[in-house]
Amino acid sequence: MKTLISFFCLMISLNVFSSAIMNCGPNQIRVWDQNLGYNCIQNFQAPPADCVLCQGYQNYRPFPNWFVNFPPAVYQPNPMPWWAYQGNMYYPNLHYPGAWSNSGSYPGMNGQHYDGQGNVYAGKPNIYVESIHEEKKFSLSFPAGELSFLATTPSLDEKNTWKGKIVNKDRFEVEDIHYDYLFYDIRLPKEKMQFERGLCATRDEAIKWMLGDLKEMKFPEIALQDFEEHWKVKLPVYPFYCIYPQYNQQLDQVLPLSTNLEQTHFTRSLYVMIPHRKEPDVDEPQVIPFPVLDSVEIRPKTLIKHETMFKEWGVAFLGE
Amino acid sequence: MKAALILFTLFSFPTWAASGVKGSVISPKECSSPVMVWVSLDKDEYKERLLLMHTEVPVGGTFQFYLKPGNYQIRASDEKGCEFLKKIKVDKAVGQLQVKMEKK
Repeated sequence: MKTLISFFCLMISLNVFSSAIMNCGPNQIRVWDQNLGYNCIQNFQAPPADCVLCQGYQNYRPFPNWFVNFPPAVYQPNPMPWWAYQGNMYYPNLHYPGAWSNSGSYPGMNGQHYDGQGNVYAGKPNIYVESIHEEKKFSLSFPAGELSFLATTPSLDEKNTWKGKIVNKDRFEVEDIHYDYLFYDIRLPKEKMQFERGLCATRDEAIKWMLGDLKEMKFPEIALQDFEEHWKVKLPVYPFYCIYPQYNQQLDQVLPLSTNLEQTHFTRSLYVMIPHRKEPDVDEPQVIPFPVLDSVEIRPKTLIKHETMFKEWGVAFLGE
Repeated sequence: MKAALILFTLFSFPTWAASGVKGSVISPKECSSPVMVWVSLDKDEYKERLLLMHTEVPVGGTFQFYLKPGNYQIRASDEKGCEFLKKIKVDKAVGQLQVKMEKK
């Protein structure tokens, strides 16, 4: 009986230990898989089961089979949002976050077509709100001066500010128009961002991990739905991604946001994604090191519910 | 003194002042909200369709694209198939655009 109990305890502790592998050694890569959880490995060889037209994957297969470029006969494409069907008719690069280049150290944004400065292209940071107020005046301000915005909705005023009302507890009203979220695209400097914490995963697993991370930070359901809908379409099909999450600690230094409201909390997350055409291997030198440390340690915690909670998600790519 | 002030104002105008296009969306009743507004290059046959950015805007709402000087296409579409298309030339200032949706 004692043996059985001690075996049981050993199994539990092993299980707890294995699920709690947080940080990896210097010659390892931190990876994540929905079934196996976190792991520290030297060479990531997960099959890219999540893509049908994995041309990037073809590049490194020793005996490429060109039939793999065609979908199987009973191929059922995932349903896409309405705008993706329309975008597909006009734009061959719809399934990329923008003008894209494969010529740099890593595949990434083609900066020659974009205005401004900064090597991190933050795509679609969306800001959502949850408030106890049915109606409350608000303003959200970016710092005055030189910022490299690419797009905003609604448009900012001359002081880089959105002004309006929070209505129905979870919507913004700006100039009498309701918005589910406030949106901006921006170029940011890479220097104050962190590139040691995070993980590597296949494309599908990366989306699942980010959604899980947002859930942990208690993002509202509409924010999760928008994230999944958008990035399932706009995250380019590469077999592997390494994710370097930037949270309040990093983003408040790079791009502070201020509000006139008291009793407010802001949860900010921006996932910098580096696509890999082949399996990440620690023996191959990298311009951006593979993530080895746990990002949960820097993830913002909201233990107290404030009157108004702003939540911001975004995904970013490096310029070539 | 006045001349000095005018000169100061002229020369202190920020060189990073944004260029691009600021827009608002209007739409008839038979169309729907929101509208997806797309911006692509308008240079030659291939690049014409190179999508740079897109943003979802509710009818009545506003948006801004910050663009380098050059030629672009602004296209807008909604779930009911209403559309808008305009070629624009961006210079060193922010232009205004009204996206007027139409049922095709």
